[in-house]
Order: sequence, then structure tokens, then C-alpha cells
Amino acid sequence: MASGARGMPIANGSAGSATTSLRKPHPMPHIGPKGPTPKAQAPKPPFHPFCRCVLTPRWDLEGDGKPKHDAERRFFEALPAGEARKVAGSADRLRRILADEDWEKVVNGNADPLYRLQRVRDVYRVGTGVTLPTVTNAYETAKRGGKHSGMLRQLDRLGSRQLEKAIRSHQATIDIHRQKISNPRSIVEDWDARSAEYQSGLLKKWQAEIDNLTEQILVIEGYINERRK
Amino acid sequence: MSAESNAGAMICLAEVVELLKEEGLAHAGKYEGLLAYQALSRIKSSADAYDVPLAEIGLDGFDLDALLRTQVKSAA
Repeated sequence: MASGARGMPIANGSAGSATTSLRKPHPMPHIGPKGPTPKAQAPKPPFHPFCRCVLTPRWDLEGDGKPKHDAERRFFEALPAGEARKVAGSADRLRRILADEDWEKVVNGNADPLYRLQRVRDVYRVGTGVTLPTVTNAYETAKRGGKHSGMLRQLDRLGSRQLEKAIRSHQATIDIHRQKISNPRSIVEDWDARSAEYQSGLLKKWQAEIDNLTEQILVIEGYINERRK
Repeated sequence: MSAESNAGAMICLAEVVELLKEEGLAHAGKYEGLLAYQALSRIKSSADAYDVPLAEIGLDGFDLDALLRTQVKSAA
């Protein structure tokens, strides 16, 4: 299992985490049953057949950020045999992974590149052309004068405590927006009477705010990390 | 930034907030009002994050979610 550095956005697809799932979620290999992995290294869901794994940022964790290379094997060992076989894709794949073969090569096999494992850092949000925010690209984009560059210029004027507070505040707002998306009727009582255009528009606005706040957090995190150097 | 330009920035922000409130209330509960709602949401979350007093930008006591209701009695 790999852990993230303090404050680093971390993906978490483990069972029992605060994920939205219509069925029992499988913990993702490379993450392990205990949870976290640095976001940039996390596999992009869907990872396995019937996968409903989701990624959730974890701001509350600390770690050394160094991958633990036997995490995947240990993860498969910890699963019930039938479950492990399903997640691996076949009994043969499972046997090879447990024999310490490179799990990524086993999973990818001879698959078309389109169907090979991707990392979160590699992917784009489908349909929007917008890169999924990562520590690197959100902060670097801001530094290059792109999105959030205005905010970044102001961060110099703020102390560490204020920056940490801003991150917590943004995270709390993200949680509120998530709650609204999961239960819009709690905000819009006559939700079912609203047009599809309105419903879709409002859900997109809430999601856009989540994305924006996530990017802001990543920019602040990037700034803090660089200021520490 | 000087205190004067800080005050100027707050005035700019308060004016934009005023415009968005008017627009949001005029189109409350309608698709056309969603952008004003989103913009005000963003301003409020930024103000919360950076300790900008809501009263100074015209958002104190303003119920943003009221902009999503078709019948707005008194959002402000």
C-alpha cells in the first residue's frame, strides 16, 4: 500500500470508505484494503469487471509518499479466494500475481492499449476535454498564468494558518455540494417537477463548483509544498 | 496592496454581488438563474475560506438556496 505525503490528495477506493456505490465496492489493487494511495498513482476506475470503485480525496492522512511494491500481492492475499479471482479477472491471473509477477503486466496482458490500466494522472474527464485535476497540473497551470493564476498571486500574502484554513473550508464546501448532488430534493423541494434541463443544469453547477474547489485546494497545496522547499 | 485599493476591491466585489443577486432573484427557480446562483456560491465559499466578512460584500444573511426555489419570498 502506498501512502501520500501530508496534505497530498489521496485516492481511496476501499470498501467501507465514504464512497457512493450501488453494490459492494471492491477495494482496488494498488490501494489495498486499508485505503489510500497517492492520487497520481491510483488506477483509474473502472478497474475490474462490474467495478463501481470511486476515488475520494483524503486530506486527513499523512505518509511518506513512497509506494510499497508488494501492496498489490498482499491485497490479493487478503481477499477471499473467490473474490480475489474475480478482481484479478481469472484464476490464472490470480496465480501469477500471487507468484509475484508484475501485477500491472498481468492485468494488461496483451490488451489493446485502449483497454490497458490507466492512472488517474493520465486521464481526461470524458466529454469535457478537461484534465482531471492533479497536484501537478492544477498548480503548474496556475503558475503558467492559466486558471487560478490570480488566486495563486494572492497566496503570497497569506500565512500558513490561513492557507490551511482555506483548504479545510473548501473541503467542507465540497462535502456540502456532494450532499446536494446526492439528494437534490433536500434543496429543491419540487425537484421532480423541474425540467430535465434545469435538473441537469443545477447538478452540473454543483459538480463544477466541486471541481473548481478541488483545483483551488490543489493549487494551495502545490504552493505550500513549494514554499516549504 | 494598500488599504485604499483593498477597499476598492471590496467595492468591486460588492457591486458584482449586487448584480448577481438581482439577476438570481429575477430568475429564481429558472434555468436562467443558475449562473448567478453558481457565481454567488463561489464568491461565498471563497469569502468563507479567506475570512472576508459577508456583510462587507452584501452576502450576510442572504440565502443562496432560495434562488433555487420558484417562489422567493425574501431571499435577502
